Amino acid sequence: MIIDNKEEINLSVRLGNLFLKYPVMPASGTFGYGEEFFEIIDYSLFGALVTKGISLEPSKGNEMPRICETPCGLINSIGLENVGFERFKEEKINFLKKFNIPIIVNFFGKSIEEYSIMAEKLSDINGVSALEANISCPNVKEGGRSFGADPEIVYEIVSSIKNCSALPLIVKLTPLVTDIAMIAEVAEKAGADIISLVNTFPAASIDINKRKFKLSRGYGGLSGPAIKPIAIKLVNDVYNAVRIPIIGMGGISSWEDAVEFFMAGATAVAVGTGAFSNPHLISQITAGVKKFLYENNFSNIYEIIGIVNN
Amino acid sequence: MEIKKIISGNFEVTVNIKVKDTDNTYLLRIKNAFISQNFIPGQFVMIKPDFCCSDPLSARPFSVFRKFNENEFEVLYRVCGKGTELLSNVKKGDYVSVTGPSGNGFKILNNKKSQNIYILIAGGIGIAPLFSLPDFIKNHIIKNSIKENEENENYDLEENNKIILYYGSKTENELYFRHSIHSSYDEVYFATDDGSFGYKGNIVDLLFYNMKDYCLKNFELENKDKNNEKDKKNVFVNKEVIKSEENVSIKEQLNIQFYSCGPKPMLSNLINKFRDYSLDTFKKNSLQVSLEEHFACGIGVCLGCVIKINSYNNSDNFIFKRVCKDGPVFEASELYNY
Repeated sequence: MIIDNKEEINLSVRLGNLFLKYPVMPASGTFGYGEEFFEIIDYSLFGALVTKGISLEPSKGNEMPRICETPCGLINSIGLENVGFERFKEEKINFLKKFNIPIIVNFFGKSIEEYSIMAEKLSDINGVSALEANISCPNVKEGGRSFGADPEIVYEIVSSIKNCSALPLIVKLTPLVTDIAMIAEVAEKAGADIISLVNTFPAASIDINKRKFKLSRGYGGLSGPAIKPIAIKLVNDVYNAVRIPIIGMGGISSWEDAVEFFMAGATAVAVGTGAFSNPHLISQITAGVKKFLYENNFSNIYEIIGIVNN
Repeated sequence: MEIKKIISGNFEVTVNIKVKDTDNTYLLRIKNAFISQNFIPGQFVMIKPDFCCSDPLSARPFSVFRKFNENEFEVLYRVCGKGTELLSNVKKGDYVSVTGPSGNGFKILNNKKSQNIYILIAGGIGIAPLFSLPDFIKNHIIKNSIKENEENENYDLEENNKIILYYGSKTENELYFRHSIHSSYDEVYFATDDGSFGYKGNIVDLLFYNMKDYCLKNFELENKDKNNEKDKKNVFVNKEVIKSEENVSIKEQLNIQFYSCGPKPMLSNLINKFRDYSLDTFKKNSLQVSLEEHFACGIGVCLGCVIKINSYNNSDNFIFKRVCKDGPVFEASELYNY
């Protein structure tokens, strides 16, 4: 894709020690391990490559049905299906390294200990640029409540990860909390380098003829344009509460949507569901944001980050 | 880079009309030379009527129905929800977003040294991915002959390759193109649940009544008791090509391939019968089925369309595969508890 003669516009951003040439990346879980999209698009305008969430042991994922559409949204309950740490290390990472684009590895654990073990193991893999801890999954020991909903547990997870990994740490927040700004502050205090939000919103849909939930697990996570306005507000809440950079996401389907996230306070954005029906989306956003900055006489992306609060 | 497939390209709709005698089935013709010339039967395209539309959010998958000409391909679809409803309102001259051709498509296994019989089993709208198979099979055989640089003079394509269609549906109106479809086949059998056209009953049953005539020595021996009271039911036979008095030794040299697409109950019935009669244990008698699922991405990343596949390397005895990327065509013998 050609970005005209607007080369003087600087889109590069620094997220802690993570340097991105472009502030746009895929959202974890919507990009696999990079192999499928590579068959159909090129990654030259991607700021980073973000893997599907990895756990210590492989996971098969949930029974079908795993997805259903709702107005302007998609509910998924894939069940964190992934190849597990060993296969990721043996079979997946080398492919991602080919592109000379920062690699962000998303991971999760079933317990606080597992988060640290994973962080340590992933840090030993050559080529990983940053870690993204998904703290939205259920804490089985505590009755299945999300790790990310409890500030004390957030502190414990984040600080223990930081103790065993020197890589930049992104903490991905669940949106279903009373006060997301407080959770973000706790993560920052515990040593998080970057906050990413929002994860999907717990949601359900019912087939009235079958009198059953549409998904095998009943509920799943809602993504897509339906959640964008909520995500914008939450990103802004966090922007006003912490000093560390934010990766904003939630329903982005155009470069205009991305600009909204930057203006709300995100330093970078991630795209998920939107790239399903338009695989060119990430490249289009990079190009579109650049054009927008140029036409509005901005010379770099930082000039619009959080502009609504200036 | 060589084009392997079209990624959300906008192409002109040249035809979008309701199929005669049907309530909700449409034929959509789209201008795109690459897909028209390169798709394999069984492959699909993702179509989104309005590129920017957020409701419905995702593009919808459709089998490529057939190549109309070098520049246009067709999709046969039934309106069954919001996405297809919206698609049915698209007018000639409008543009739609298209990604494809995607997925694996059917494999043609042709054996030059034996007689080949290709049996297609379609249920209702399941005719869509099968419709262009006869032409594809013939072209495939011709192309391979040229590749292999064989002496073709002695090879009788017509005589050595028979293509047979078993086509069932609930009722007459869902047997699309029932009056014109014969021209592509050596034999055609119809069945409807209500008996309004062809044999009254299930198309899978009809196939199995006739199965012994196609080939299978083992089938014949094992099922003598089961079938002796039932006569072969010839319904709308186009040409009588397979003589029932053919002797067993000749039959053993037959290469028989089955291809199917239809509603899930029909496919499970078919697959289970194949298992009951041990037909799936013979490699040479492969049954390929094209499966339907809801897709979000259609490219293999979202893992929303998985299907259980037999696996003997783990305690569950299955692994998940993606219908959109690893399929949509699977060997019946690899499906776990379908």
